[in-house]
Amino acid sequence: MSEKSTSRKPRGPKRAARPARASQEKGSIEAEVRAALDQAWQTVKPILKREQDGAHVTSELLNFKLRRGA
Amino acid sequence: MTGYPEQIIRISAFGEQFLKERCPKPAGYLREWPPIQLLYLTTYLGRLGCRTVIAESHYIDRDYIADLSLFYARSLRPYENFCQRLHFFSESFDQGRWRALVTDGDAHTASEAFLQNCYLGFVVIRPLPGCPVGRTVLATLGASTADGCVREFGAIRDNTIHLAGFKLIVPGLAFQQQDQGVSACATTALWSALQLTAPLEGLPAPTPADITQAASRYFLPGGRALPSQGLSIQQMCEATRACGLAPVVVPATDPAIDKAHLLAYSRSGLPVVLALEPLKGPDGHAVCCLGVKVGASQPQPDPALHYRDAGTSIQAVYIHDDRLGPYAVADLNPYTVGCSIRTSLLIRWPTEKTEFEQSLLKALVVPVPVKLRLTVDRMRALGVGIAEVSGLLFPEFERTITMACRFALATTYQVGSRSFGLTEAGLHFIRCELVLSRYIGIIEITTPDAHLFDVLIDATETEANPSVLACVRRGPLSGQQEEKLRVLARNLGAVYVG
Repeated sequence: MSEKSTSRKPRGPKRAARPARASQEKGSIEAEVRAALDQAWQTVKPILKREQDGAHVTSELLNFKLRRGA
Repeated sequence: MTGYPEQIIRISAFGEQFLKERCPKPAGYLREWPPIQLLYLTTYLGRLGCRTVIAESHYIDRDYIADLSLFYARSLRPYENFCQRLHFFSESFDQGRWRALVTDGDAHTASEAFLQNCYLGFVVIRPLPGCPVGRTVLATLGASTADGCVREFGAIRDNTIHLAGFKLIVPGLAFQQQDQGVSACATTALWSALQLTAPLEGLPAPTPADITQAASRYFLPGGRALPSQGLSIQQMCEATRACGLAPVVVPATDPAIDKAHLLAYSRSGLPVVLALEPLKGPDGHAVCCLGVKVGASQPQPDPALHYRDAGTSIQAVYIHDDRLGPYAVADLNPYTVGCSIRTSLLIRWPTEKTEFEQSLLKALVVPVPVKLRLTVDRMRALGVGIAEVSGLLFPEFERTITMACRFALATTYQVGSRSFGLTEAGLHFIRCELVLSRYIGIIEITTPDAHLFDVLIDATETEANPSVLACVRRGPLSGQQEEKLRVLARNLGAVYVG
């Protein structure tokens, strides 16, 4: 089944008719995912910085000559 | 007036002496003979189970004739404008059987099928003293290795060969020996890579002559273009641009990141030119990487993280090394230099543990289609975040969630989606309603037992976030797991396809 990103807009009666328990469960999943996203980005930030720091293309690298003989 | 040449096709049994006898030592040649490439090819063909060789005496090779017209035609020595081409087969047959295969018109399809089933590829033998091995396309070894790993040859393609009216196909990537007239190692490695990437975009594959000329058109630090003095990385970029592709230069940083890049580009079907810094000697070397040897992903060493990186599964890479041969194995190991740890390549012979040479990885140069603007490092920047989120959201997988990145043609992905186990509505959506870029970035989230989901990224964007197009369920998920994935997709501004 597919669900478009535009699903953030209110769905009207269908959503209103959903049982309260299901709605609560959905709300808690929303919160869990949001919290996991926040925590994950904080955790991986130093890893990403380390990866980015080493990734600079320098003129020394560009001029590195490859000419090994047979 | 010069007469037209004759073609003679001969059938011979393959043995250890075959290539040595076929390429006699040139008169007055003082260096070691036969060259190491012929010895390597003999060993490799033996490993493929070669039994029979068909030799064409007169073959016009596009790459050689371009080299000839650019360089060798102006030499004092009268170089021939044709080559020999040797075809290798894993079945035994003789001249009489060959004649029957060719002349039995009613059995053409059966004869072609017989030859195809045992075809191992071809080697062009150039009339160049000292460097006879021209364009060579051979089959790859099987998928499993003796030590329980898997050979993944991501960057190969089907090559169609016409022999005496038969159409044969060999999957592989072209290799050749450097001649040091028109091409040195860098030209040859780039030539191999472009044999695959250029046709992918409907572009003609450049010859070594095209590459050397394009590389030295505006920038010539070595003083002269011909005889080739080798190329710098900048010149390789120039030659890549000249043939209509875009060069991506990735400096080698540390083994974990280097391996992740190698895995990603290999699984994307893009050959990578590896710039190597030898442990001994001043000159850099270039080889073409076209596959990886993969084992199990390693557990995450950082206790703060909840995912594994698929890059840790790489044990070795398969390379075309023009000093050695096609599909040579190069083990990847960490190597301490001062305060940093770098990736070393230990290049080996095909059958033994014998070491050929050890080098340090300096950089990756990847010719990519110009529409592929997203790079692996930018895709990884999103991928590690999504993998970590997945590890947090799905603790039931006990930190075995593994992240890998790759690119694919959207059409290929859509065709493959039939086997994803999607619902009827999901399959219809992905094939008929979802608009994808020509190439898509794919962040694959898996466990050792299942493929959980893919995150599809618009590869025409430079940043992976916010460019997520869809999150596609790939494996069976529980209702709650699916709901979490649906919410994650929404947070990424993407469509959920399940």
